[in-house]
Parts: sequence; structure tokens; C-alpha cells
Amino acid sequence: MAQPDVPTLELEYVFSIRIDFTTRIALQGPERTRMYVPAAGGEIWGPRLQGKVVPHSGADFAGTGLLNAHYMLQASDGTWIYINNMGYLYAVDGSKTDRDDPSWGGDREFYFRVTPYFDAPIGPHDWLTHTVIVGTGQRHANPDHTIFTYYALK
Amino acid sequence: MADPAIPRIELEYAFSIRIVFKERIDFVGPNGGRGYVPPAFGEVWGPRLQGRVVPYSGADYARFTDLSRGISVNTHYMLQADDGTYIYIRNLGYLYRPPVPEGGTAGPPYFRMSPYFDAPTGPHDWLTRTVILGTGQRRADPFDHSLFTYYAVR
Repeated sequence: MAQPDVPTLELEYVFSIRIDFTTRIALQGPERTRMYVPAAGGEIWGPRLQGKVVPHSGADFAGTGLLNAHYMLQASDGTWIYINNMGYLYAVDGSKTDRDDPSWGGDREFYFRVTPYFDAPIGPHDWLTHTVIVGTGQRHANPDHTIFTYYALK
Repeated sequence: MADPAIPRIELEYAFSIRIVFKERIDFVGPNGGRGYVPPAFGEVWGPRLQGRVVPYSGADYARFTDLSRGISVNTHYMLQADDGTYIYIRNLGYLYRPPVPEGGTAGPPYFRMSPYFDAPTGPHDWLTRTVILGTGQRRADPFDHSLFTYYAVR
């Protein structure tokens, strides 16, 4: 059977989100590690979405190997948006990272890639509920925050 | 406020999966619509993975409200690499049918997804720490099947 053509994928920058953190809790259990890293607040900017991260509306509940964040955004027009962010964060050279130390990070040494999923009311933001979006993350310290840059898969 | 130093996301073609579906079940209940579409058989090929879809090892247990607007992909099934390794695939994404403009014709559906995997420690465990994006297409040549093309996010 002839190999079908491989289509080329296009990505379009849609928005960035900065999330501020003040607390990092880690549980080392018998079966897995679980993190609790609440979103203290943050901001959203970019061509397709502007607004804020609703303070203390959720957290990253990362388990062993997989980021898993749930929290709320609020667009500038007041619309509430639910985000569930999944993905990976690790040092490319395999070295262990101290997750309590926010100074590690930077895109070059770390693989920090995420795929967020959204719920939004019927209206101008509901394109988020049927578009595959992929993001990069960059960690920063002093103050502790992460910047996510998101692209829609066309 | 956008940081010009944030690198763009790079995509690298990883593998393709062709699946034949023989059953398509769907119903609407009090909590919305549910689909059941199991893989009858299929094959995997490409630079990063070769093997087969394990027949009837799971399904797309899709969610929907109105089938004419499409579905949310919600898939669990098993692959088996040529070296015998079993790999779990969990696929999330969308088959979205944009509304048909008045007097116009239906455009192509938006069929995009982001799969997550589990694999044993070994040559395929890169799948457990790499964000992957995919496209889907219904094909009829030479028989009715779906073709999925997957790209690793670098």
C-alpha cells in the first residue's frame, strides 16, 4: 500500500499566560509523587485572549512524570474559562530538579511542553473548546513565576 | 510584554497510524452524548515507531452534544511495537465540524488531537515524556479507514 503524504502542520501564536506562585508542596507516596502548586494569580496577553488568572482558583496537581493543572481564567470581558493543562517538565540531561527551587528553568536546558484543554461558555471564547493548543513553559525566580506561550494547531 | 526570546515550537514527524473501524455506536443520554468506536485493526509506521494497533483493545469513547457539530475525542487503546512492546495510548482532541455558512457548503472538519502514552522502560519510553500532536483524516483508498499522523513537539 503506498504511503500517504504527511501533511505539514501549521502553528499560530495565540496568547501567553504568566502564572505567579507562592507555595510549593510535594508528597512522596508509596506509589507516586504528587505536587500541589497553587496559582496565586497571573496575567494573559496576546492576539486571541487577554485577561487574568483567577487567584487561588486551582493548582498544578502534578503526578510522577506528568503535569496536571486545573484552574480558572477570566477574560477581559468577564468570561470565565476553565483550563486543564497537561504536559511534561524535566531536565533534558536527565538531572534531577529540586522542585522547591524556582530558580531552575529556562527553555534551553528543560523540556517544558504542555497541551491545555479548555471549557468556555458559548460565545467569543468557545473556539478554545475545539482547538488543539500546544505551549512552551519557562520558569523564572524572584518572584517565582512561569510564562507559558501558546500556539493553536491549525 | 511578549518576550522575543521565547523560541518557536518545532514539530518533527514521528509516525502514522491507520485504523479500520467496523462498528460506530453512539447515543445521547441525560449527561450528553457518548460514542463507542473500537479499532478493528490497524498498523503503525514511520521514523520513530512501527507496529500494529491491538485489535479491539479499547475505543474512542467520544463525548458530544450534537453529532452534526462533531465530537470530543476520548480514546484509550493499545499499540504493539514490532519488537513486541505493548504501548498504551490515551488520545484527547477534537473532530469539530464548523457551522455551514448560509447558502454555502461545508468546509473540511477540524480533526486534531494530543495523545499521551505509557510504555515500559526501554526504547519506546520517549513516548512517556514527549508532547505529541496529531491530525486525523477519513480515507477511502483502498478501503474505509482513518489515518492519523503524529508529530513530536521539540
